Amino acid sequence: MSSPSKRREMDLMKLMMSDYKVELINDGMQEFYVHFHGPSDSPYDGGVWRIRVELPDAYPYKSPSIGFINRIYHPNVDEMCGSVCLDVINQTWSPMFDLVNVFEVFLPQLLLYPNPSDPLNGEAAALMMRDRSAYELRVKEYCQKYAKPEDAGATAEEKESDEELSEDEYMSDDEMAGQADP
Amino acid sequence: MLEFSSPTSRTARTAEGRGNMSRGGSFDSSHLPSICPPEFSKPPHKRPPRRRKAPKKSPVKKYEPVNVHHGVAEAGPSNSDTYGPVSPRNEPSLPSSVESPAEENLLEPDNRVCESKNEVGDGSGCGVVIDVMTVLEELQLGAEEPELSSDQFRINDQLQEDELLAMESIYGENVIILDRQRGLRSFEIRIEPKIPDELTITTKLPSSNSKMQTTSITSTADEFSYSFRVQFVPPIVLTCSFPKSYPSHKPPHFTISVQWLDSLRISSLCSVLDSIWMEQQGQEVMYQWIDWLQSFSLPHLGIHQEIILGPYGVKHTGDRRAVSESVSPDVDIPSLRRYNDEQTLENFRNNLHECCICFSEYPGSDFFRLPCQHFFCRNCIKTYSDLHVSEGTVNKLLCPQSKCGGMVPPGLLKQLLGDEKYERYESLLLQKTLECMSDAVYCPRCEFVCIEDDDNFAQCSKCFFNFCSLCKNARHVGEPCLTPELKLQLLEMRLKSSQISSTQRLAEQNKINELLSEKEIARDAKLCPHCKMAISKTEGCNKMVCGSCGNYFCYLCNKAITGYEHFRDGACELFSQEAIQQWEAQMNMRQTVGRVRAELNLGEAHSCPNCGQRNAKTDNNNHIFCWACQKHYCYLCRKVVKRSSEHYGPKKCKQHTAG
Repeated sequence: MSSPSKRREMDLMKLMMSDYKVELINDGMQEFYVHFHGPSDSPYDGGVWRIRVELPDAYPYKSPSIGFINRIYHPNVDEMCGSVCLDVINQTWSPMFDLVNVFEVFLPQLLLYPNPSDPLNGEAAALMMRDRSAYELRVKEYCQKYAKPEDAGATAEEKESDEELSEDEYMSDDEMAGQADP
Repeated sequence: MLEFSSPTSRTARTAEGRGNMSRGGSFDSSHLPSICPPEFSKPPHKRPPRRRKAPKKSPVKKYEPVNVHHGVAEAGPSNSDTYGPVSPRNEPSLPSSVESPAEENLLEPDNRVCESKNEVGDGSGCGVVIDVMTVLEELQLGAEEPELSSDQFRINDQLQEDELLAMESIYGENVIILDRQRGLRSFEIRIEPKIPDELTITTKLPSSNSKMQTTSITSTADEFSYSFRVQFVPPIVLTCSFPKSYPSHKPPHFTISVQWLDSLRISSLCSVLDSIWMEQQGQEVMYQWIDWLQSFSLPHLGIHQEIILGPYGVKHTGDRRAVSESVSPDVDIPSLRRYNDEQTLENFRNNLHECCICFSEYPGSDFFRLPCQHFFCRNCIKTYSDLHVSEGTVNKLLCPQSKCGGMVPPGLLKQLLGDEKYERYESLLLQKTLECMSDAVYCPRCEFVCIEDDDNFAQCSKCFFNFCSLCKNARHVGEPCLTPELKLQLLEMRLKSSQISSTQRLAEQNKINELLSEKEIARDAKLCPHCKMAISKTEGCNKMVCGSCGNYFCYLCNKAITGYEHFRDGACELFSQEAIQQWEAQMNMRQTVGRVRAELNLGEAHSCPNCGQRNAKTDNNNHIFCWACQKHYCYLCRKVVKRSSEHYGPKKCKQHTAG
């Protein structure tokens, strides 16, 4: 559809105008990366995440898919792959929403008020329900570890080097005393 | 504001007019003054900046002159017979009240056919029918016409004709020529006065009245006013007729007719027109009159932001050229509102707007407006509806505006989706609504929807099957539903009988399988106390985390718990012995072996110095590995050994001894 590309352009333009750092992947305006800062009144404060946004063909009638490139501890975000539960976005989506809306309103709201009824990260959901302060602590830990500005900025390279390290596990066994003959 | 179209849309009347000016002998027009005064060729005022007009697709809308009543005789030419053939009368064309095909597709609730304005001119409310044509006639008859030389007459004639042409070209469809007969040209001009963007119209209504005889207390004449805002008001209608001595001696006869002014105020307008003529007698005055009426009439009357209607019930005095069409509040107010709405709609339709979903621009006629007043372009609403219907999310097919939630009217949907998809939409909607209803059940025989009563019984209105909604069997008054076991037995017995058909056999077999699985689940699984999900434990301790809702419960007593405290108190054990053994077996085969051996050689088993568990010495090795605490120790000295090479040796404990 050619006329919605005007809509995409407008949305992208508006996003860039609102001081978000946007990196286009290809020129087709289908996917791009955005740098997102955690909302200031949440335990995610101070974290910086690189977010991959993909606009489906049926945009704006269908919601965009959001994925966190660096790790985040949140009930509605898959810890390993970073994708946000689509249903949560889709349920409240309207064709009038635009990308600025997503980053200014929707994501901060999601971070502040996770939706435990439909968790991608069950452990996080359960922790949040059981012990809120422990949950917040955990969130902050993750922010410290994975959501530093450098993480969001140079994430592509870092990911590879992480994988190499994890292979080396130092296994120490107490050796069974053999039947040593004097 | 006076709207006019460009000269290119000039109607064909001009050509006709010219052609009919046949007279005996030609005449030389070289001595005549210049035909078109410079003012006529320039647009009288600045076009408002931002508005862009889409190219007009619909035919130029013609309208009936406001003040002409069909039954009344036209202004009769009394003395023009001697001046040559009578030109055929120019019939005013009737309004095309059928809208152009392009507009038929629109389905907006406030879409009204532009009604002919004749009804409004019917001043029947005040008891006196003021007919403009009659007034004009009276004016004409009453006026004394000075004697004119034939030259003068011809000059006037030409000037009048030219003036008419000029006005047509400037004001286009806002001018209606009523009569072009020589000597008595008459026409009507609709002048839209310049009004601010938002104008308030107010009516002061006296509240119920002190004229009531029932109470002697006279209520204070409390005035109560009703006002509303408009952006368009009906135009000032100036109807003129040129006497023969215009413009040399006499001004045109005219009447001013306004729907929202009383005759007194209109009279003052009439006097101003008179004075304009007086200032420059002998020259054409129409343009000045129209311009003044358009730009200055309202300020002259002191109207800036607000028009006050009325007064009503006052006898018409003053200038008889002032024709007020103001009747009564209950007629005027709806009529003014209606005019405003129609014009706003027309304005919307003709201009380009931007759709807030796709950001493309279309003329207003390509938009659909929902009852909640939000509007979107046709393509967007169509795509939106198609998407939701094909995905089945019909409950979300509401106004796209965020937080609005307004309904989309079914008529519009039908138009957008087409018959097939609309049917699908309807059936999905029905299905979803039924799902919400807690007492809607489906008949086990024909799948038709039925309503169950308090006892969980229902009767299908299609096949008349009376059934119990819990077990889906026939209605069993008084008896409880069949338990699954009984049902299973029944079914298995039926299966054995050879009298049932193969399809039914298959169905019953499936039923049996289902019941068996349910039985299996019931045997082993426990229900989560929070969400009732059936959970089956495969391994691990008895503190269960429900996979569905995340809450904890004890597998043994099936109660909701918060942590491990439940197991410390003693009643329920955290690990069953079985589980412990299983775990241990998995953990370390050697351990098991060691333990078993220790158990077997009870007599010779000794205690480990570290943990106290019994270990058996096997073969001759004194270096014992405790199966319980995993520490190495020496059998001889019962001390924990860190390095066997240091502990055992010729001078120290011997590693191998018998016994």
